Amino acid sequence: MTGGFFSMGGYAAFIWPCYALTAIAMLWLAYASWRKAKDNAARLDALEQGPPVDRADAHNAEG
Amino acid sequence: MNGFIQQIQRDLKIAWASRLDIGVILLFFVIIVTMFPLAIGPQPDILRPLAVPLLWIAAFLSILAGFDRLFAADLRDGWLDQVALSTLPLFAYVIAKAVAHWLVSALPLLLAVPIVGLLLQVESAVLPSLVIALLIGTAALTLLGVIGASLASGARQAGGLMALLVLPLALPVLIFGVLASQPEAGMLLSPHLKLLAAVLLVLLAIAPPVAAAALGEADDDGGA
Amino acid sequence: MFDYLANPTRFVRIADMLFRPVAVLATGLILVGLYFALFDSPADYQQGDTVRIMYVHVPAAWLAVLGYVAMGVCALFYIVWRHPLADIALRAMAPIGALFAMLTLVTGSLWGKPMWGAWWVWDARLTSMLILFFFYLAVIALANGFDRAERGSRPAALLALVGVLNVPIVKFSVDWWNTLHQPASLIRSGGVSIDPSMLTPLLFMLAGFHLYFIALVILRMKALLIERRITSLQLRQARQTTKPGHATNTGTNA
Repeated sequence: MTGGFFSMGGYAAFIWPCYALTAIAMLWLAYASWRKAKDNAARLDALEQGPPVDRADAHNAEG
Repeated sequence: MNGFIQQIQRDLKIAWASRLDIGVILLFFVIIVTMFPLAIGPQPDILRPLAVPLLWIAAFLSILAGFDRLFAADLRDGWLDQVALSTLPLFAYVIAKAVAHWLVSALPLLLAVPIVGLLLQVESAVLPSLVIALLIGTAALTLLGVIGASLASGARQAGGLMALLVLPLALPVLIFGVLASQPEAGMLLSPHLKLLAAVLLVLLAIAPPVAAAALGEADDDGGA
Repeated sequence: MFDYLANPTRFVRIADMLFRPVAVLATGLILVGLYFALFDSPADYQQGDTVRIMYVHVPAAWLAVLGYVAMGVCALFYIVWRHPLADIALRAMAPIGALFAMLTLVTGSLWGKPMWGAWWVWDARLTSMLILFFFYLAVIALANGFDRAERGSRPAALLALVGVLNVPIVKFSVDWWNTLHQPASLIRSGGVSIDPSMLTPLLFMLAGFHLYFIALVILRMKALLIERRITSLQLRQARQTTKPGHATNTGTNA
């Protein structure tokens, strides 16, 4: 049964890449989106709790 | 109406002042057309069925090349601000720009088609329907260019973005246009031509408000 | 409901609440769908096991089209009613829709090769999906193509609106072209008559993909909202620390 399952009636070369690609793509997008949200949240926290900026430093900060 | 005509006249005068640029578009058209036989091979039997489609593609690319100049100058030298302050509605300004652009970019191509067509072995019987279809098709394409140019004005890669915006939407024009150029039984008013005209009408309805909305913001941004 | 969600802070709170259950449900539905798709459904009488590709191809295609319609709705809300979150929603949806369009093309190609013997055919649906994919890329490129980040929202929204009108026209023209250039017979992608036992995996996968879409839109919108807050905070800080007498003229819109 396992042999038949993996060979998918001979169409394995088409079916498995299909499912693999779909899974990889969707998982990648989910991860990337989650990553971005997490990183942004961290940056926001850092900014909101950051120490009051020294005037001299601020001149070099981006605006 | 006055302001509308004046806007067209203004653009025509500016274009005439640099009329060599018009020659450049024409030259571009001819060169693209020349590339095809050189790539495909000179046999008339192969070229003839391809002639009309290739002419259309060449015409499209040539007109596309001029789109980024559609609004750029007006934005840069503050003319758009003047228009916004004047009594001419922004969407009327947009239509005037489209008309002027068509006269300057597309009309020369249309006039050159009978001659340039010779390079691709176009059958002379096809010429009337070809020119009429191109007339409508280039008008539709100009309106698409208006949309593309107004949306992308101020972007970093404005030229490339414009092409990316315009070309997918231009496919119906290409499809119907090529079909309308070679109608069966030589009838001029083929269903393809009517569909092409319908696309033109849709674009005529969409392009002015979209471009006006987009240019309004571009203007606020100082054309940045 | 949309007015209720218009407040960014409130939206983030609701998004945080919704995300986990939606994500879990999506995962569950997809896993069940996969079980049925790969194990517990029959091979097709004509197509054999390749019909199993349908269980990812059809949901992907459906979501690609749905995403583009949803983007159009967001664009409408943004341009006409100036809903403050509409452009964020649009930006969030575009990459997801693009991904589904790409998957549709790839899975369609992998389905087509054993079925029709060609990796690509200029079938009306595949061609329209290709155009839709380009269209998604155009929206993404436009939205992010300006130096001032938010400047791209309006052009992208306008493009989305233009697309709602024009992409069906493109599809129609390709259909037209197809019927004229190709002899009748041949390709009907998805021309499989659906056996009820095939509906189960299809519906599970469809539902799962829908929820996946929603979950990711929530996630991406949250990320974008935070990004905007960061930008406005940075601008405010820079302004506060500028020497008096130097007017910083910045056009913020969070």
